[in-house]
Amino acid sequence: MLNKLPHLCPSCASPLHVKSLSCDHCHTEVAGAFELPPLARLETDDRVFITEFVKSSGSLKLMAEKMKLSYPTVRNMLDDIIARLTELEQPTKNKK
Amino acid sequence: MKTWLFNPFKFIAGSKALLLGIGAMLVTALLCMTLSTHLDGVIDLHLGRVTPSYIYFIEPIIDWLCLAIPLYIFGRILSSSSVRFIDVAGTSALARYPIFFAVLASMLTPHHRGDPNTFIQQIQSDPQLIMRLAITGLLLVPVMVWTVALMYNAYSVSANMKGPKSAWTFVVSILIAEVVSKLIIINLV
Repeated sequence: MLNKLPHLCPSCASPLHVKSLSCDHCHTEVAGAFELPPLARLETDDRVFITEFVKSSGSLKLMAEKMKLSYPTVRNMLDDIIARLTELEQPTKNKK
Repeated sequence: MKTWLFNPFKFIAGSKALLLGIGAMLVTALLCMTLSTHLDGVIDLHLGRVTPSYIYFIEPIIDWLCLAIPLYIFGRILSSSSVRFIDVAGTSALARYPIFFAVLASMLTPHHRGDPNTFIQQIQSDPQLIMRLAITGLLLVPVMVWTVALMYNAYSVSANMKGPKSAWTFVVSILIAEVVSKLIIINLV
């Protein structure tokens, strides 16, 4: 089972950062403070939706057929993800 | 099951919903013609008045469009999504299908064919009619609540409207639609 990537602190709900990365092949470890990209900070369902959307060549009609949902329902799901992404990008922009 | 009953628009919208909705409107209009029942307002149902046959078929179309148009306009202005008229029109049409059951329930009430005095006399001579009227009323209220819930969900899904914004624009649309449809139908008959 693949572990769910946590993006918020379970204690105070602040955004989490990547502290270290390691290579499975040579066991090299890189330490630092890396920010998770907005896409990685989305919920698993949202990330699955985006992956499927890209695989459907960005066609909402095709997505609706695949998910057996109506076109406006799928469009609303996408718009909600866009809103969440915009929200996630906001603090990053402010920092810059 | 609950979703299919109150929010089928999660699965059906656009032209498919439009075809199903128009089909339901046609069947309901046929029943209305048989029972002399008029849908002379967005959420209105009146019994007994005999009119030319075409009126029974025009009334639901007027009711449907009078609601779909303001909902579409509000959606276009206030929604962050790109709202399509086919979705608003299709889901609004399908949302009217419970009215068939309301017309069916109205069968319990005697149809006085345009003369309210005859109806009053009928009630006075047969006290059981009051009971039948009460049962009809009890059946009509949940059907109308169901219809309005479907209309709201149709709007919410097709225009991606949520929260207080969707509630007040829906109420305003219903009020506009009720007044406009009444005026059109009164001038038509």
